[in-house]
Amino acid sequence: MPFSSITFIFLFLPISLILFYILPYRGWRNAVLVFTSLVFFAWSDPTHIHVLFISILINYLWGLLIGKAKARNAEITAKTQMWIGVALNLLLLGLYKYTGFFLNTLEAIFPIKINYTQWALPLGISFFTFSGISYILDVYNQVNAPEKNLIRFSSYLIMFPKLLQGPITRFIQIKEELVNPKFFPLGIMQGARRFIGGLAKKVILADSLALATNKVFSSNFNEIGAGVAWFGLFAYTFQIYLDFSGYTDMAIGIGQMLGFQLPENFNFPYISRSISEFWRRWHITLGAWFRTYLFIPLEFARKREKFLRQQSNLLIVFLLTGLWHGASWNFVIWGAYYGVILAIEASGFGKTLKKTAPFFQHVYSLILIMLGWVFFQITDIHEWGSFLGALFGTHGWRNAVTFRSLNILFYIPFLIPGLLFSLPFMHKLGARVKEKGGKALLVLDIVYILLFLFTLTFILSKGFTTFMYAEF
Amino acid sequence: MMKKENQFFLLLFFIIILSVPAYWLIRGKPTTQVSIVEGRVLGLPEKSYPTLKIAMEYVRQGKPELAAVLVWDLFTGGSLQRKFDGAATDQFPFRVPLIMFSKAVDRQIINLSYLVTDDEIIPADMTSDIYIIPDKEALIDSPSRLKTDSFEVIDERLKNYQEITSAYPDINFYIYYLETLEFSKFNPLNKHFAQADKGQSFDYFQSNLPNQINLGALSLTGLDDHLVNYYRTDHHWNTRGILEGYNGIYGMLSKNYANIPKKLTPSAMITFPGIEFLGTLARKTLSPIRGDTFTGFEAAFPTCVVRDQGIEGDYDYGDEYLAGDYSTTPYTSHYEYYFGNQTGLLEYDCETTTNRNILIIGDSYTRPLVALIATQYRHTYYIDFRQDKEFTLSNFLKGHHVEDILIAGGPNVVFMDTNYWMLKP
Repeated sequence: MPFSSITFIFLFLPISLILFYILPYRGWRNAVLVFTSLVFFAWSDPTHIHVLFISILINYLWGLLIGKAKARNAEITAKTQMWIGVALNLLLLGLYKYTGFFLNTLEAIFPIKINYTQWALPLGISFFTFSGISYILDVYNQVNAPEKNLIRFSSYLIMFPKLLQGPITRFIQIKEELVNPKFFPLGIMQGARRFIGGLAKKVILADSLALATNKVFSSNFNEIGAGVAWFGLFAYTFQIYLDFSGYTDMAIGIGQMLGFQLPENFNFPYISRSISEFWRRWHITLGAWFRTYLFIPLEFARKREKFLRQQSNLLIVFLLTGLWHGASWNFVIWGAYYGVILAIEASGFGKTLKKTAPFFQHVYSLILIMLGWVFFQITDIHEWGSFLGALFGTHGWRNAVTFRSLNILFYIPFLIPGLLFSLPFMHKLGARVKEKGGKALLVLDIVYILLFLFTLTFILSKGFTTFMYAEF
Repeated sequence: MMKKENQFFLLLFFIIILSVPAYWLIRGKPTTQVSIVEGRVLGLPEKSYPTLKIAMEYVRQGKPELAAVLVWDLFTGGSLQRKFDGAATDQFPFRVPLIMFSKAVDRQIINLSYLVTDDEIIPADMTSDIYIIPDKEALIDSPSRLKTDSFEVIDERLKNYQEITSAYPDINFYIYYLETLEFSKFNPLNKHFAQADKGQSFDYFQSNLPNQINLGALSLTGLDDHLVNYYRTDHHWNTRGILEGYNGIYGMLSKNYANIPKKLTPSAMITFPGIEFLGTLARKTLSPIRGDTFTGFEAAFPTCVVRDQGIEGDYDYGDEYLAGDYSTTPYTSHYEYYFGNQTGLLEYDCETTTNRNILIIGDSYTRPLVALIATQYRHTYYIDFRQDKEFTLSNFLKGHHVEDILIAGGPNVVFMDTNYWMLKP
C-alpha cells in the first residue's frame, strides 16, 4: 500500500492512528502496530507474508540465543549463534533476491544450463533483513540486550512506516519508544507536516519528473542530442532524490505521529563537496549500516595489511552496496564505480580536492554523482556507451528525438522546484519560520494545508507511481 | 506544549483526512455511477462482492475450506486490493472538480513552458499526446510515428489480402481508407517528429495492394479539410465527413454493381439544439474548449429490420435524437449514442429493390456508414473485430451469402494492425 495512495492517506493512516492511541493500555500499542503493519504488507504483497514471519522468528530466536550465550560468558557459542543468525538472514535475502543472478552468472561462465525460475521479490526484503542483521550484531556486540517481548520485537522489525524502504533502523534507536510508548501531540503535528512535505515532493515533483525521464530513457539513445540527454539526467538526478527522500520524509513523519523518532536518511546530498561526503549524506542509514557492520570490522580484521587496505575495503563495501540495490551487473558496476572513486579520494586526492575552490568541489562531485546515475538507471550495460555519447555531444546538441517529439518540454520548469528542494534553502526557511512562531508559523501551516490539498488533486488527476526504492 | 497556531494546523489536517472516510460512511452504500466526463463506470468497493457472496454461500453450506480458498485467491491475486484502491479513488468527494483544477494548473505550466517558443500548437495537457490549436479551438492527436517494423506489418496485411482475395475470387473486395490527421502529411506537428508517418504508410500500402481489391479513400487536402470533416473535440468524423465517405464508397461500389439502388440523399441536416459536443479529445484533456455543434440528418431510409447478434432491435438512439430526446450534459458521448454501438454481428435486412448482400468490416468510424450503405443492399452485415476476435470469413460464409466485402476505416482497420484487424480466411 503506497503512502501516496488514497487508501493509505484516508483509510489506513487515520484508522491506524485511532487504533494506536485509543487503547487504554499503552503496552497494547505495539500489538496494534504489528497488526497494522501486517495488514499494510499483506495489502501489497500477500503471498510473501510468511517471509515476514520467518524473519521475525529467526531474528527474535537468535537474539535470545546470543543473549543467553553472552550471559553465560560462552563467547564461542555466542559467536557461532551470531554467524548462524546472520547467515540465515543472508540466506533469506539471497534465496529471493540473488539466486537467479547467481545462476545466470554461472551459466555465463560455465557451459551449463540450469532450469530455474526466479522467485518474486518480497517487498522491502533488503530493508527488513538488514534491520534483522543489525539487531543480531548489536545483541552480539552488547549494544542492546536481546528483546524478550516478541510483540515488541516484531513491532521494531516490521513497523509499517519503515518496513518497505527504511530508514534502516537499529533496535537501540527506537527501543525507548517501543518500551515506553508516549503520546506527543507535538510529535503528531511535526509528523503531519513532515508527511505532507514528503508527499508533495513525491507526487508533485518526483512523479512528474518520472514521466519525463521514462520517456528520455526509453528512447533510442542514438537519436537523442546532448540537450535531451542532459535534461534527462538532471531530471533523473532530482527524481531519484525527491522520490526516495520524499518517501523517507513520509516514513519519518508517520513514525513521529506514532511517537517514534526514526533516523534521518538524507542530508542534502547534492551539496556535497566530495564523493565521500555524498555517501555521508545519501541513504545515510544504509551507509551507516555498511560502515558499522562491514567496513569497520574489515578494517580491524585486516589491520596488519598496509598496502591499499582502506582502498580495498572501500571497494568491497561499495561492491556490496551496489549489489544490495539490485541483483544485476549495472548495480554491481555502479557500486564498483563509487568504490574506486572513494578509494582514490582516500589515497590523498580527497585532501587535494579540499584545497581547491568550493565551486570546483561541488562541480566535481555533482558530475560524478550524475554519471553514476547513468549506470544506475540504464540496466542494459550495452546502452551506456550511446547514452554517454549523447551526453557529450557525439550525436549533436539536437537530434531526431527532441523535447517536442517526446512531449516533455513542459517538464523543464519542474527542474526549478526540484533544485530548490534538493538544496537546504527551503529547509532552512521552514526551520526559521518554525523558530519564529506566531503569525509566520500560522502562514506556514496554511501553506502546508494548501500543499496537501494541491497534492491530492495531483493524485486524483494523474495517479501515482510506485516508489523507486521499493524495487530494491 | 502545543501552541494555539499548532493546534489549528493539526485540527485541519485531521479534519481533512477524517472527512473523506466520514463522507463515505454518511453517504452510505454508493450505487453504480457513470462518470460522464470520463466516459466510464466508476469503481465500487463491492465489485468483489460476487466472489465474497459465493464464499459466504460455501460457509452456509458447511464448506468453509472452499470459502477460505476463494477468499485467499481473491486476496493473494491482488484483485480485491486493486478494486478497493480504484474504488477509493473513484469515490473520492469532489473528485472531478479537483481533477479539473489539477488540469488547469497543468495548462498554466504548459503555457509558461511554451512562452519561450514560437509554437502555435501546444500540448493540451500533460498526460495525453493531444495538442490544442488555440486559434482554431481544435484538439488534434500528435503524428503517428513510423516504427522499424511498420512496413513489415503492412506487408503482413497485404499478404493477408492476397490470400483472401485468392480464396474467394467470386467476391468483390473493397477498401475505403479514412485518412486521419495522425497519419497525414498535413499534420501541423509533423515538423517536430522526425519519424512522423506523413502518409508514407498508406502510400506504401496503396502501391503494393493486390489488383483484385478496389481502393477508395477520403484523403485530407490540408488541416482545414480535417477541421471540416472531423470534430474539433473528438477523433471521429462528423456528419459531413460521414456523408462525404458514403459518397466515395457509393461511387466505388457502383463500378462493379450494375443497377445499384439510388444513393440516399439527406432531406434535411439537423443541428441538435443545446448540445455542445465535447468528444474524446476534450474528455481526455478536460480542455476548456468550445464544444462542437452536433449534427444529424433526415433521409428517406427504406424499412429495415436491424439485428444485433441476431436479436432484433435498435442499437442506436438516432430516432430519439431526432425526436429531441437527448442529454445536454457536457461530455456526453453523443457520437456513440446517436450512431449506436452494437455488441456483435450487426445485420440490416432492408426492403430494397436488390437481392445483393454486403459484409462491412470496420470500427466506430465505419458504424455510421452501415445504415447508409444498407440502402443499397438486401442484407448488410457489419462486424467490428474487436467485438469478435474469433471471426473467420469461411465460418461467416457458411451461414451468409455476400457478393461484396467492404473494409472501411482508419489506418489500423485497413493496414496498420495485425492484432485485431486481420481478416482470417
